[in-house]
Amino acid sequence: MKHKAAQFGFVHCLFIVISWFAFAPKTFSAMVDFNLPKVVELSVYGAAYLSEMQPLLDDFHKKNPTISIQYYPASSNQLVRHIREDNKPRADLTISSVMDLQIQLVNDGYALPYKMNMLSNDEQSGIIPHWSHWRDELFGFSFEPSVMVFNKAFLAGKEVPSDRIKLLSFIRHYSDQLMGKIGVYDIRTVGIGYLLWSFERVQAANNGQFLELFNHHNARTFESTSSMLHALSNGEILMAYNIMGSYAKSWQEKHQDLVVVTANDYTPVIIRSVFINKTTAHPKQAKQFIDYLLSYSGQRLMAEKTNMPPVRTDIRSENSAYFMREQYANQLKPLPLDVSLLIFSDYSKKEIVITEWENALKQYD
Amino acid sequence: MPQKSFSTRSLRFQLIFSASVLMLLISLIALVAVKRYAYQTAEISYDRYLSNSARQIMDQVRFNNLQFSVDIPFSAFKSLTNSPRDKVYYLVTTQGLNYITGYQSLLDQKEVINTIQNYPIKLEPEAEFFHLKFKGSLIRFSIVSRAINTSEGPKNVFILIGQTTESRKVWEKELSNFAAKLIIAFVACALLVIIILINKVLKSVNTINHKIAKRSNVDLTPIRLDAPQEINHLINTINQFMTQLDSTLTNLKNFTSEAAHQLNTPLAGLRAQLDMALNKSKDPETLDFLIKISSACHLLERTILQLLNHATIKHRYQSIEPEAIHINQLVKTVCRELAINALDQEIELSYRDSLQFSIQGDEFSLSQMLKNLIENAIKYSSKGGEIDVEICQQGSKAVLFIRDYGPGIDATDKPYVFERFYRSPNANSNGTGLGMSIALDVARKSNAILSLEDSDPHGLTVKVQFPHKFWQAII
Repeated sequence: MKHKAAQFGFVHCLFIVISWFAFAPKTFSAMVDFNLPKVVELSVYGAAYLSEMQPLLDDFHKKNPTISIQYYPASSNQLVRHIREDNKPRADLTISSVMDLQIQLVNDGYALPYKMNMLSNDEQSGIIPHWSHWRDELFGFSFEPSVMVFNKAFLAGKEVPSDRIKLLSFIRHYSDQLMGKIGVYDIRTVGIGYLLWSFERVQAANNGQFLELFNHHNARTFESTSSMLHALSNGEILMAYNIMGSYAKSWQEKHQDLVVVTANDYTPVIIRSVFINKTTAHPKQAKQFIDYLLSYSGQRLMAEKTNMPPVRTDIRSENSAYFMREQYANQLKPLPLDVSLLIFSDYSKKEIVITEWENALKQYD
Repeated sequence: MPQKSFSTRSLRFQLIFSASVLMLLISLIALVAVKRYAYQTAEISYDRYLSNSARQIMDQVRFNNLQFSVDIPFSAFKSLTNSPRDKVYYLVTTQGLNYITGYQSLLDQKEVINTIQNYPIKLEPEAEFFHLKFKGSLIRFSIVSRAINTSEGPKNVFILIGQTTESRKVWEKELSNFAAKLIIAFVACALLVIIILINKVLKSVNTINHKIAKRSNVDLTPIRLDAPQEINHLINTINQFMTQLDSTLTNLKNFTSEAAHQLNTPLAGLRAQLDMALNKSKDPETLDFLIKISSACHLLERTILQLLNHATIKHRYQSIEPEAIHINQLVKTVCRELAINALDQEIELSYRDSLQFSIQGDEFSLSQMLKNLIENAIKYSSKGGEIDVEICQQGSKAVLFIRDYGPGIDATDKPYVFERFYRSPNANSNGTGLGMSIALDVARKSNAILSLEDSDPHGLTVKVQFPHKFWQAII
């Protein structure tokens, strides 16, 4: 497991970044012709797949040709280590959906405060909802439910389990087929997996039953969403529990071999957030990027071109926080973007949760 | 202008100034008190959140498998989100400073170590609070402790939980801002009321002032005014004083006539005896003495007369209402009276006028002034000389000139002429030295300006000018 994590390193990520540069030739020629101010390079570290972020990065660069973005995808744990150990190249901006780690980094003073006009301006203050940011440092930009995902072929002809109780009986009912075919995040290495699992542990009374069933069915652990989706797609596993909905939907749109289900008893919702690193050399450009992410056009593009639901209240399409919060008010359980999340990154708590989880899944790991 | 001391400034200024200073002082004290109160309430309410969180964590501390563990409940930090912007730092540790969970770097803080080691061990643990500078900002910490049973017996476990102070400051600021507005409004109202009251009090003082100012010089009857008790005392005192003044004036009037009588009677006797002695005496030496005594006696008579006149004039100005005086007629009368006297000394006294006017004044005093001035002119003129008396208008002023062509007065001596008992070194005849002084007094009382000029080619011109406000032309 450990060597797999190491593979997911920066060298590989850089490759993706370089390929992205293919989008820039037009602006390059313009610069040569008119001798415009030189391009500032922003290093954005993200615990988010570049494919999800790509449309936003392209659009931002188109609007701000003098700012180019180096995007470094990383796992949340790598991200935290990179920032805490002050490794080079230094991050200018940090994007992650692992809310507790983001809160902790900000709490520990790694973020640069930014008094956004949109937040201080009275007319606009309602447009960016108060739950989407913490202090003037951490800015949430998308509102993403976690989902259950099934292999389409497997689910054919079966009743889709719509809540956790039904899911438990579903697993028991199809116990033989699901043996060794249930996928879960490895909460030791996947930050979002740990956060969702420890949140469920607080919220759900039947959490213990799930652990028992996963244990009984030789549940497989995955180190990334994409590897899990891949396994689902080719039938290596038949169902996955608590997956980031945005990635699942993107996969589904592309391959159409999955079924994405949101549990209607309750659905944990994650806020993907960004902060400016305190050590940034380009605070002005970093602020421009945050302004863009939360601007109407940026959020609109997010709603249209990605599966990350935007947070702005003036965007009300089906794929928006506003719509979901209105429509599924008693179903959604958003994680609060505030200090109460600090308890999840607590050292002792982590030990307890992981020990519990390891004890349950030990013999198959 | 000399520096005014505070006690001589207007009463209104003193009262308003003192009241303002006092109100300012009171509001300052109130503001400080409110700020203190706001700070304390913020401290108490936010401290409560902190200690509650600490207790919730405390309840979850367990000793399993030879080590401590804490499953911090989700609700533990929930109450801390009441201060939405504040950062949170916490630490769970044993008394031996063995890290259990939380921010390990807190164990490097000297103050944390001291607080833990000096924490009183009690049955019912009470939360304690302290401030600490951590990660660049001031943090308010709460600390609670409890003994946990372990395989090595009970051990004390400490929970420290701290929060930045932004929300406290916002609360404190809001509270004290509100209070400050209230205090300022209150002080403004109080000052308004004070100013109104001061005006009310001073108004009755002003009324007395008006009543007295409006009175004529001779009205010494008591003031009648319905005023507050304190002001009535003042009125009574003034009335008493005026009664005394009235009786003093009456006495003075009596003294003047009595003194004139008392002095004149023996003097008349002296004069009669002297005249008799002059007639009888044959011895030329004795006669010479007697003539000198007679001349001294004459001077004494004149001096007494002038003194009495001056006293009378002064008294009259305090007791007689001024009346309209036709100056031309008065001057003519006086000239007529003195013409014989002048002719005795072969001096020609001429009068002419190009203006008829009257002033408000006292006839007796004015005629004394004119007499003294013209007599002086006669006295200093040489035999066969002339004296011109003229009334005319100069600009807006009515002017009376009395010109003689005698020796005149040196410029250096002119300022002393009006002093009592001053005698010109050029004087060749006896004088009392009171005439000019009386004339100046009368001129001033009659609002006229008395000045001395030189005549052409020599001699003295006395100029009496009446400014335009104080005379009326008679057509």
